[in-house]
Amino acid sequence: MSSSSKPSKTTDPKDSSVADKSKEPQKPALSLEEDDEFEDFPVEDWKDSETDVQNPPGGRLWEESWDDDDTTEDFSTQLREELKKNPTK
Amino acid sequence: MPRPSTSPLLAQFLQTVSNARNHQNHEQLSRCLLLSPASLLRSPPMNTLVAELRGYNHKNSVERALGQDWPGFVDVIVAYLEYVKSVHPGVNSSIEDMLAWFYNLKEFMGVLNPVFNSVQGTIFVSVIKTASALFASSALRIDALSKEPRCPCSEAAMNVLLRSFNSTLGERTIATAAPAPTLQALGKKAATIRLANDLFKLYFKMNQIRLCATIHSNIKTASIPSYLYLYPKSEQCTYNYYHGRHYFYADQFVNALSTLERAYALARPRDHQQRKMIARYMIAAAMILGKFPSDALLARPECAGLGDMFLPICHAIRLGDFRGFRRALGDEGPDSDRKQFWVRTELYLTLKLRCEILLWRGLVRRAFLLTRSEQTGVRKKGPPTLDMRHILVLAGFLHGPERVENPLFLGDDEDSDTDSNLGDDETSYYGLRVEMVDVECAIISLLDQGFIKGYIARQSSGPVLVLGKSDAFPPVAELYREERYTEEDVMESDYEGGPFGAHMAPASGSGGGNVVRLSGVKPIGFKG
Repeated sequence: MSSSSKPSKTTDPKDSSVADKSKEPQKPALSLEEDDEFEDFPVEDWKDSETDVQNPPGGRLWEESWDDDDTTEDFSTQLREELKKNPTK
Repeated sequence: MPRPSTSPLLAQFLQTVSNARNHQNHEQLSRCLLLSPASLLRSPPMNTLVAELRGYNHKNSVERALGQDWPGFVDVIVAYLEYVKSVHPGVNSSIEDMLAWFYNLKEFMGVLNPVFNSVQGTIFVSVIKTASALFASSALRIDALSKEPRCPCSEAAMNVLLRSFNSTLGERTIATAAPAPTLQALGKKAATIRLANDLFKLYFKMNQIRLCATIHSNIKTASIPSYLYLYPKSEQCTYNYYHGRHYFYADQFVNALSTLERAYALARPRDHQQRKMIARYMIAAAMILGKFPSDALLARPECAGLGDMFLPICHAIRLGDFRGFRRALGDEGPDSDRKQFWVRTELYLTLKLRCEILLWRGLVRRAFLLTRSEQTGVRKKGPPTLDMRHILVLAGFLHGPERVENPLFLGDDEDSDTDSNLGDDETSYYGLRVEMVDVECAIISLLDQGFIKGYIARQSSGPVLVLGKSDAFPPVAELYREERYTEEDVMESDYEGGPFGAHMAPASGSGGGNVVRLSGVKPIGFKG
């Protein structure tokens, strides 16, 4: 099985972190405003060199090998408990 | 003393217009024919001209100056001056004033459109572009301010601009014949993409996304995608954004992702607002196809906040955590703003439907990881297996409300007093008893669509999933490698959405898996 890609440094995606964010003051955790319009660009045109088309950004956009074999974390522990409580044989 | 036949400023104006026409200089003509109230009111010559024109019938002057060889051109200039006369400093002071101004502009467009459509109409191509941008953005702004539910300005704009759009395609161009094709050589088609983008903006706002299909298909028929690079980058980027969103709406995630990636690459790094909009849908499409956003992507300034939204979903998928997924979508849990965000961005239903198969994959894989050690203890020859009763136990656990202490979940769900909104969640098993047949459906879907390599063996104790010896759980992204996987470009499809649509399996060309349900669970929600 493939091992997980390097763990996220910027956000701990576990439940506890999501719950923590909800305890922040009134402003929702989302820093995204009510912004659903694709605005017009400030200029009409620009050079190829200003785009990423020919200069791929440093760092890939996607992680494709994210499967994780670690079964020591909380979620797996909960599941293990559940299996113990419901033996099949 | 008789009034001079033409006021001096008008004569000058008409001379400039005539020059532009004679030199076929559509940009110069556009500079003469200012349209936005701001630009008109800011221009001293135009202010003076308007003052001269008040109470003066300019039609004869225009006819005299521009000649009779092209009456249509005269009509447009006459109409233009009528429009200009109607623009006053108070156009934005009330909804009524804005509406009056809007309808004056619409009148002008009504004269311009048929003339643009004529063979000589190419001279107006830059005017059309400017008019389109102004007309579309004003329509949306005025409807938003007036809060008129029927959105009359947007409706009007859609009709007017569609006519203009169709006119651009009616002209034969020989763009590709030139040694190096140029935008100039495209004639009226130079306005096609701008018009398309403005129409998309209106269609999306008016929730008539289906109408985009005709636009895309007409553009494709005109072979424009093969020379899209000729158009200004802003137009290319915007076009790819809307095209990508339409693919997403039509559940064509492979096409959606590649198109949105192109849009993203075309935008400059400083165009944060546009990149943010693109990134939202690009990341959603990628996730459905088994690609998670990298740290590098999420760290970019335009992606601020997106990690908070998407990473919990990625985490849930990785683990097979159905409960975590419901929290990530805001269906339960402390963070109700999350659901608002997903609904507002129109991602809620698609993610819910399309991530389900990935969650099942994750859960089955996790169940295997947790139970395989049992197997090595026993003398075990042959392929690895997974007793599906284990999956049933875990699925039941994860699909029910979080229990404080209740070892026997099965049988209690009808009575359980949860604080969650069971009624809201029509599209999953949440709150229902998960049966073995549900697990089998999920496993069959996973096997059929290639997420798991193996087969189901029927044993006296119950069904057992027999797994391939190596790589029984190929990485999801592998399944959608473009070389192996082509999506039909069914932009005109009357695809309705939902799991019982045409896209039951990847082979029918959609990208994104589905759980096929056979047992009597609640009907799946509809899209949109």
